[in-house]
Amino acid sequence: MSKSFGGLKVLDDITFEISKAKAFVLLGRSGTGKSVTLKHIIGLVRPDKGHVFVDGREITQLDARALSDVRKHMGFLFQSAALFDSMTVGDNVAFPLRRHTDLPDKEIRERAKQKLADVGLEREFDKMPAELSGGMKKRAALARAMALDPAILLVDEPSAGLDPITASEIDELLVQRKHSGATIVVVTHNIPSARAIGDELAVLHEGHIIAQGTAGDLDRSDDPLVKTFMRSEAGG
Amino acid sequence: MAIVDRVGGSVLSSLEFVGALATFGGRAIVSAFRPPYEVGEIVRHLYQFGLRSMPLILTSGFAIGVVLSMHTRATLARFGAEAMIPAGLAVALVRETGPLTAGLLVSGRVGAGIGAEIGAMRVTEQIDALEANAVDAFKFLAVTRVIACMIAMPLLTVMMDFAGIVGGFTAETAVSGMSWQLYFERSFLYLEFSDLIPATLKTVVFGFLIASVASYLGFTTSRGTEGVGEASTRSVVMASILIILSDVILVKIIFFFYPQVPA
Amino acid sequence: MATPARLAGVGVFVIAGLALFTLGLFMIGDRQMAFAKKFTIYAEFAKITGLQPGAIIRVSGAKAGTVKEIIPPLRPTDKFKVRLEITEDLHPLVRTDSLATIETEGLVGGSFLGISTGSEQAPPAPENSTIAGKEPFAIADLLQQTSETIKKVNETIDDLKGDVQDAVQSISETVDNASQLIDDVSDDVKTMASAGARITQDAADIADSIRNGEGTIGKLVKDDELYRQATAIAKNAEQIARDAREVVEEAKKALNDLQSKNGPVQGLASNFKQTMDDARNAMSGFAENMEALKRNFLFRGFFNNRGYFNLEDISPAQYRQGVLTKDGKRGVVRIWLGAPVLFEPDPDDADGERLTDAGKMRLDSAIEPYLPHLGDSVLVVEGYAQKGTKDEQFLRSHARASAARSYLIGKFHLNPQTIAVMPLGSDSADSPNNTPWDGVALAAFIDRTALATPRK
Repeated sequence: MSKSFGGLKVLDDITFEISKAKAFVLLGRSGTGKSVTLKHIIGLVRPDKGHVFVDGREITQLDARALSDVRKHMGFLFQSAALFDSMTVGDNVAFPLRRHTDLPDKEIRERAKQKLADVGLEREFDKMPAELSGGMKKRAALARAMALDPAILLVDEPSAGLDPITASEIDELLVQRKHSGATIVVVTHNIPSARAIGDELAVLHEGHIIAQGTAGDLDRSDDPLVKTFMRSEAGG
Repeated sequence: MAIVDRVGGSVLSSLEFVGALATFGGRAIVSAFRPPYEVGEIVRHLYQFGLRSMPLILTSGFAIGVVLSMHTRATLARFGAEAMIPAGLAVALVRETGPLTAGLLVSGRVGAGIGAEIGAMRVTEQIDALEANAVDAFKFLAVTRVIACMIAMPLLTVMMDFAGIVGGFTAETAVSGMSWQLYFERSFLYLEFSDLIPATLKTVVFGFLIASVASYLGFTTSRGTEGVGEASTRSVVMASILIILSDVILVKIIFFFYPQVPA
Repeated sequence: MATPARLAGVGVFVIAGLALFTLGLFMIGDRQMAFAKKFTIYAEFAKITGLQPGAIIRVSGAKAGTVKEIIPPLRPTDKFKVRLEITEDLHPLVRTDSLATIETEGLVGGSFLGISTGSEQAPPAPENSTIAGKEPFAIADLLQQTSETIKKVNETIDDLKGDVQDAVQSISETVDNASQLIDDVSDDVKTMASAGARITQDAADIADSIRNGEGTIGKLVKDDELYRQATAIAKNAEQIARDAREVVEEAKKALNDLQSKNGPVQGLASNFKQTMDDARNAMSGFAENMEALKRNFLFRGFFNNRGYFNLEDISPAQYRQGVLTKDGKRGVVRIWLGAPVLFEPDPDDADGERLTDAGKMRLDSAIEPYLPHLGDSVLVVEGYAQKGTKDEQFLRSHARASAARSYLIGKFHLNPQTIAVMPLGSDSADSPNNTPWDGVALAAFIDRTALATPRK
């Protein structure tokens, strides 16, 4: 799979496979195309060349409706949280439920509250996103991404800009999701976080995957880049 | 040569813009007829564009009515035709001043808002978030705004017309003490259905243009916060230009269907 | 999300906007009477003078509906057909004899269509019927009307002429029958008869002048005021004609009384004389009226514009200076006629003279060659007298010229406007052999262009 933006080749013929009910962590320095890769999986970005298969379905060839069906089973946590400014936190979390379930409004509110409680934000239900701190936004966005209990959870930089405690709480939540059967794909440059979550790790560098395997495999890698990367515990 | 290149380039990019905008607008119309209809969003935007614009529209309309009344009085008094002030003012307001001013005011207030809001949603990945949530962001954001704007525009125009007549009455009664009943009656002396209906309905086109341009520019925002500001500004500029240009064509079309014979 | 408060706000907004729009539609509809029960009729106009569909219709001033359609004519002779929708409430006023007019509202207002209330006798105009349209005010139409009036006057005058002739006939018969008794009044009768004839002639001439002078009058008659005057004059003429008829009737009656077998002829003589006096007074009043009519500025303007002078206003001095030939358009031809042939002493008047039968024949033959030109030209009967003092010469020359003029007018039906008397006394310049002339001269001022191309 390849992708260029304005003549700049971001991804150059990368190939990887993610196992069901496992956590896959894509590592790499800022601007190496990690987020772009993640957006390919949910069809927000289409490759110039190559294929993306989700559950055996070729995402790049689907029409809007079929793609929409696939997306209903996916959750996506954006790097910038991307909460809808115009809605309360509660409505943000309830949004996927309102769109894609026929549940009564009361039930939806109940579930949204539960999801917010999971990320420790039950009291922020009626607040507007602008009133939240960055970490709270991230957690609220995660609550939204998990609102439909998706089979696949795509997470872009879950712990960026967060204090270590909140970050580890989020990591914990992701691990819980994995244990309840969800496939998790995480993009991060936070190595401890990657170690905590990841069943399989891959390192993206200059458009290529330069290493792939468990955390142990990567630690043992001879590639100097990978070595440097794995040792920079705090991330770059 | 450089100048030729630059002129050619800007002509080309203008054409590109028009083409992209037309495609965008066409898509908006087509997808408006497909479910889901996003009624909740339309209502929310109607509230924003319509009710929240009323203070601006009513105040401006009133002021325009006062000013127009003072001008027409000066002119008509010369012919001893003060009795024509209400009718002349109403014709001017209903046929052109009301629709065009309302269009420009709304393009300023609503166009800027749409451009900035959608632009911000673009740069903060909210549009991606919508898509990721299996929501047709184009429809959810653009189409609903276009529809709401198309509904709000004629209603605001009628309010502007009315506020203008009230303003004209205020100015008139201050000078001549004319009663509201007589003034209002006389306002409709020379108005025809062919004045009120096409002039009011043409603002639906203004509404479409405002929301389409602003949404398009919002959707195509890049370069972060700076891009949002630019989307907002360009929305107002583009929408205003398009309103005035389209008005020329619309008036011509209206004249084609309702020929105006000089009395 | 659509919260209840927000929904309510949007509801208020939408309802307010729609309500105002509906109010506007209603106000316009109300003005156009869109919601009232209506009926359709048509009106026809040769010219629509800026009327346009949507114009307001007023029935006797009340707002009644709008002009729906203006259907152009298919041929030049056809008229514009205007379709009108009028509110049923005012139907009772719109009768088959109602008139539609195109009027203008105020100084700068648009055209509207006015419909006059019909008469009680006429039935209401039925649906889809056509009522008459009164053409917008135009000078040509005004002249048409004026000339129709004049025609009517003329007809009346023609009738009158017959009556006068009858009367004259009766009078002369009576004169024969009543011989001696009537001798006392015969002069009056004759005077009256000839005055009557002349008056009738004058009236007819004026009517003719008006009829032929549309162009000139058109220039003068530019507004209602003048139109009213013209109509008043025409009416006046009719009145005069009626008066004249009455006088003649009275004269006839008097004569009948006189002739009746039972009538005490002897005793009636004084009565009859009284009646005749009355009749003569009335006739002279009539003549004065006619004279006033001739001098009315309208017609005077007409004659002046046609290049005529008011011949009676020309003094002998002006005449001698050549006012009639000054512009060079006319040439003068004189026929000199001597008094011995023309006149004989009047047996009734010691100093007076009257035309002899030979004199009349001489006048006939003298004027004959010029008759074809007389319509366009001016004939002046110059009178000359050599006997007596200056004032006697003047009076005699005037009497001679007048006698000749009256004879010529009576015989050849000349237009009195174009034949004048010119008492020149003893001043007989240009006479044959430059002898001092005694008698008259017929001076024909003839248009040179007419002479150059004689009529066939």
